[in-house]
Amino acid sequence: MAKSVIEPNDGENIIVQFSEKFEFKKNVYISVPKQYSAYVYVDEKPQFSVKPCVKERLIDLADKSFLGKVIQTVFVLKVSPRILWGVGDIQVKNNKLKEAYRVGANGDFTLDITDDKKLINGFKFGADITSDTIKSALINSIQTVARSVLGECFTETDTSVFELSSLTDDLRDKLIERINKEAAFVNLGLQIKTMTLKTFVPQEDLDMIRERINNQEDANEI
Amino acid sequence: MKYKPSIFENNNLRDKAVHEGLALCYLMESGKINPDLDRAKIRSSASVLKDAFSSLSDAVGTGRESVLGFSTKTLSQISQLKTLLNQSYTNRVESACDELCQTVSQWKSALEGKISSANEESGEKEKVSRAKRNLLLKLDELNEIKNAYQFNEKRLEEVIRGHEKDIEELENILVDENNERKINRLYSEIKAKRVLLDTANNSHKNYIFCSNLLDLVHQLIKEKIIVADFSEDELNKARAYLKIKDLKKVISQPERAVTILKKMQDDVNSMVPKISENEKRIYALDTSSAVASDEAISYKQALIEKRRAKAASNDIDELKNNIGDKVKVEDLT
Repeated sequence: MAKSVIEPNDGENIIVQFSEKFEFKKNVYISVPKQYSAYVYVDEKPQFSVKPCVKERLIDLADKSFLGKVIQTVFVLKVSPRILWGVGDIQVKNNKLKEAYRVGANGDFTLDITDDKKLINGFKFGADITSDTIKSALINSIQTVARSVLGECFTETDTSVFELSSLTDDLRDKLIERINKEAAFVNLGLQIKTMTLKTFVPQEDLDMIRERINNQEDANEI
Repeated sequence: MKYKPSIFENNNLRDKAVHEGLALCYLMESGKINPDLDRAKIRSSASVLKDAFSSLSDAVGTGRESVLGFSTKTLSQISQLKTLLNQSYTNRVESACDELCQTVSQWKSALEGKISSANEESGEKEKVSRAKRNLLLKLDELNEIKNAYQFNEKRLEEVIRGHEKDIEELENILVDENNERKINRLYSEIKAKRVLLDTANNSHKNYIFCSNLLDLVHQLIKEKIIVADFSEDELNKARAYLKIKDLKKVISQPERAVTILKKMQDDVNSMVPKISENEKRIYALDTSSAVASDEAISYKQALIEKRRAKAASNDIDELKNNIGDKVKVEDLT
């Protein structure tokens, strides 16, 4: 009897992989690489988990009561690929410093899956969940929070546009903290693990502000 | 039948507990409970509980985890909670819900391989730290009330100062006035102002007293009870002693708040026998009335005497130096 082995594909961007449906037989083997968690489903209901292993006979890991049932295995990748994000053209007007300019931010982030089942249940059952799928589900929340955090940092504060880069660490920490509380993340059992952030202001805006400040200083000297 | 960990057994135990748990949540949400219980609080606890059970319903393990302990504990806590729902103590229902959530989350963690079922001790420690956290949250609310008292203290201070200035001004006018009709009017105005001043003084005194008592209760809990090695039950008891809701109701009536605060203080004191010394200290603070005590007056008198004596001795020293200098100058000439 030919043995069939269930294992995840190598696709780097696939976070959750669904195997083909198959009948539970004695000759079915499973391989779970270290970076993965595996769950065996019957009728879209999780029945048991499988720890990392190499070509273990499934019957040795499960009850005999599953024999003959149609099962499907779900593999969840624990190592998150880097996902790009960005937000731009946030209009900032600081009356205190008499500065008006546009600001933006971009970077990438990695995710930590805090609840595998929430992630599996958050999308259509049976279809693989890629980093792109997750990105499209989360990007709106990230952009909303980023707009608000960046805006708060510059509007009506004493922070000048020229001090932008010195605030990167603080901004990133604030952003991670706020994003992790967003419903979109909590409902999918996800959290931001690492994040990079680069802020930018269009060159013409910077030139304009610099020119105005220099002119003002010249006028004061005269 | 003897329990032997297997996928089938574990899933069965989980499904049974989830079924019972969700039924309990329905009972709590639908309001089929003792009418004396605070429905809003019960609903909010039910919602947390529902999330915990929904999360457990999808949790699966390898089938090798021994979860019978969690199952038995969960079912017994559910039946205990059902009993409490027929009684009229909301805080007990809340704590029972907290405990049940804790057990369910431990069960889930055990299935996910994060903790072992034998890890009872760490679970107990976690419960204690949770009780401490809850107590600290309550202390924050207590602080808010204290801030409200202090705000009122400052406000009344201003009012009292205003009344005192008015009275002083009226008295000055009265002294210079010769018209008897005007004298009478001024006198009655002063009398009315004095009544207002007394009332404000009295409220001010009560606010100070309340604020001091609150400070003591806060300190007792934060520095003696939270730091000390109290059990989870005792910490929960301390939390129940803090009648925040009652205090909030009488925030503008410090006279009534005093009774609640004294009761609170007695209850908290009963947890730590050594605190009686602190109690004496706070009652001593109650002497912050408009009239200074004899003891304070005599202390002040003693200080004045001391200051005078010091000044006199300085003068004598200075005089001696001056005389000495003069004598030296005369000797030289």
